Amino acid sequence: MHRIVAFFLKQYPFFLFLLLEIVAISLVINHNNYHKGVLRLGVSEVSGTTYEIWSHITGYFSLHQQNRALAEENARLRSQMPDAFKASDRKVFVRDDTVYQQQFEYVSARVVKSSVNRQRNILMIDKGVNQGIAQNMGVMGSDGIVGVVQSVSANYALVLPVINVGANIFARLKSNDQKGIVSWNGASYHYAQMKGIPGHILVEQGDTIITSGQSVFFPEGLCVGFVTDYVQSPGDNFYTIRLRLGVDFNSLNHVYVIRNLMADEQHNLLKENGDAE
Amino acid sequence: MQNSPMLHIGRFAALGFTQILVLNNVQFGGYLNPYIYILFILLLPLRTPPLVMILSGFAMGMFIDLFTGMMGLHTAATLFVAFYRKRIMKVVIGVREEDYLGTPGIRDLGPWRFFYYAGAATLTHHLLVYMLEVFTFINFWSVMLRTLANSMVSVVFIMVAMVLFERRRHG
Repeated sequence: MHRIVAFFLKQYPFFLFLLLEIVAISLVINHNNYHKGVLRLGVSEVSGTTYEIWSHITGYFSLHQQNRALAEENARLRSQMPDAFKASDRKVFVRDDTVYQQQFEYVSARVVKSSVNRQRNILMIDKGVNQGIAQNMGVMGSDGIVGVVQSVSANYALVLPVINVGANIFARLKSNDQKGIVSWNGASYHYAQMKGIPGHILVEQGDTIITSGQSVFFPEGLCVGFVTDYVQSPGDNFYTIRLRLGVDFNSLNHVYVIRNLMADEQHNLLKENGDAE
Repeated sequence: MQNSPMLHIGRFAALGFTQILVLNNVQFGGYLNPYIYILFILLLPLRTPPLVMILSGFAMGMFIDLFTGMMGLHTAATLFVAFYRKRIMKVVIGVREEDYLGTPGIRDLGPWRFFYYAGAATLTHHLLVYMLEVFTFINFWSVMLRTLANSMVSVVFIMVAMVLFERRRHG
């Protein structure tokens, strides 16, 4: 007994090393399961504040581009305002609020931390529970979809972007409504892959890929990306499409969090029928 | 003065913040991300007690993890390098009696011996980071390629930092 104790005492650095290494690796494993964002919640408040201060400083260097992007978006939104339209004929111009019930709300947010060079990239935005952000809300930029909110703390939220090997986005081809799943292979942050389009469908380079509206996170028709090329492996009935993502994740700054006002209803209906995602 | 705890704590903070605020924003084509913070581990004196080595490695890795939101990833890799640093050094360049006297930097090891030492440690660290990050073996060759390319970039940054900031021996 005495010898065993002596052995452990003599070798304690190794056992301490082993213990801490196991702690670290189990953290990695927990983290990979991306619904367990819990551990990082307390942390993201501290690191979020640090990054926010830093991004306030570095933000000045890209003010010019940011302003131009926002101005462009303003212009586009303005062109969609009611004032921009001339009522063609009063008699057939019907607008009834009981027919059009609002389903999606948009909350603007700023990206305070992002990465593009990891396999499991993550974004941090400066809105959280206090601003009405919750898990599983979609996030879009002005050029297309960005990702889905993964975990939230009081004033910050972590977003699982399309460029994370764990992300899957329901999407379809705009030209012919064929549905598939967009995922990312961990290589270039400009390109993603889409699978599930049957081989007999005519796909063309430059086709737009948009959200299918089948998930609760995103409204239908948001841009995901554009087809750059496609291959059909022998023996495979489906295309693997390579698409250029609409959003440039490296210069992403302003985003919108999409709140689906009917998400709960949709979830509950699915749950009642035993099909909880 | 040369090995006072304050110097190492200062180095911890300087390298840690340089890593999270500057280098983590450096993207070479979206693939590469130079890691310079392990220099803190590399430069701890060889006589540092194992307990301090382990805790230093854990703290340094945890610091980076907390700020990048990649819990455990850098901790596991940095801790490993911290614990096996001497062994890595012994295999690559051998340890001489006088190496125990100072800081294992360019000044005491000489440029080439330091380069091999830093290179081997960086390679080990990067391999662990990238393997743990994907946590599968399916993209094995892409992980290898990443490790190699990124190690080269990191070592360049480490060598430049050493040349710029290591104080020369007087006289």
